Amino acid sequence: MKNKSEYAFEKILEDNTDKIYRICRIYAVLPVEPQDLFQEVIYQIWKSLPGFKGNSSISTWVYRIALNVCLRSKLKLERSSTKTVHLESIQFTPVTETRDETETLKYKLLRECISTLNDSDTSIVILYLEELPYKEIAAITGLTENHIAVKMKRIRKTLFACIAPKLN
Amino acid sequence: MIEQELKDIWRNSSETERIRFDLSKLLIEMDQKMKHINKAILRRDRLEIGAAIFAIFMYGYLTYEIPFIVSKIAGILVIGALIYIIYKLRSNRKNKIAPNVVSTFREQLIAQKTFLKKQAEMLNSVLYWYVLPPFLTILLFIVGLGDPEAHNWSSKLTEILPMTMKSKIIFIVFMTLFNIFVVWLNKRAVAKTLTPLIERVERAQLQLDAEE
Repeated sequence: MKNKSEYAFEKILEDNTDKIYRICRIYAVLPVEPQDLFQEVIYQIWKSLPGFKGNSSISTWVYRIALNVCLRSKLKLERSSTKTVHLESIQFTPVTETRDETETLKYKLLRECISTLNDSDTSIVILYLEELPYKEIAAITGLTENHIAVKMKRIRKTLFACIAPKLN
Repeated sequence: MIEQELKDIWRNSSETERIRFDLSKLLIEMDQKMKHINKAILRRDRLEIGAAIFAIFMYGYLTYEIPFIVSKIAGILVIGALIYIIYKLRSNRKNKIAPNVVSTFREQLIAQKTFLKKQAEMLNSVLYWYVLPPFLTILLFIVGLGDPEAHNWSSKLTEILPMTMKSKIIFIVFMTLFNIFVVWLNKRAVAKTLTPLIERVERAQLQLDAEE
């Protein structure tokens, strides 16, 4: 029998797996694999779930955890290997169907362009690509909506200037 | 146009892998992981306290056995220094609360910086709370060891303790070198690891606050 928090955790996994994986994929820098980051995010969600007070939406809460875990990894703030989780019950299977090579190349280009942004801009652009409204981006980053708007104007320009010639 | 294309590329980027969960197994695994971490912390605490209790008993016994008044006083001070170190280690650990992962990006950076700065302060001050108290008291203990015959004291301890001037000097030199090494290791950890991390966090904070 599942209890309430197990149901909540299952629902979070169902609704957020893809978005968490996308974020982990962009932040993973070798030797850290996206799968490692993903597992860490899942573990942190589970650990933090009892403390979720509902002050923000679950989605905002999940984005915060994912970004914070990925940022810690990027800044190499987690130095202890004992803190890295390896959960065998999460299985990653590469999609075997032939993927559109153009799509793969486009993603590679997008990733390249995002990697030219600084850490703060990267987090904001990720949330923008997730199609979140400025209000939610502000709630995740701790900045004001106006500040996000100003930043996005510049980031968008930089990102488009980088990727547009490559896509064409 | 390009905006939507980028969003589509982004959205499709999670389609490279299928992720499957065995939920009941996952819950058990995470529970085990949590227990494993807690056990490791408990083991470390027990080891730390065990070592300190052993040293306290050892100096307690020495203090009781030896007839030299200066060393007796020093022995009591060594015990005091060991108790102080244990207290300090434990209070440092208690205050070492890792930044909350559910806070906003901005709060996370502030918390990380505070956390790292506290760690750096603790390691930088290791000379004053970790090295000097036992070093000075043990030094006094060694210097205070006098002539056993003059005190009509015969004990197997005279074979272990540095009783002659030569053995005292050798012991003190080694102890000094060891303590210098401990301080150097801690300072190095701050310079090589913590300071670059603090700088990285500060840089991220500046980037985040830019254009405000």
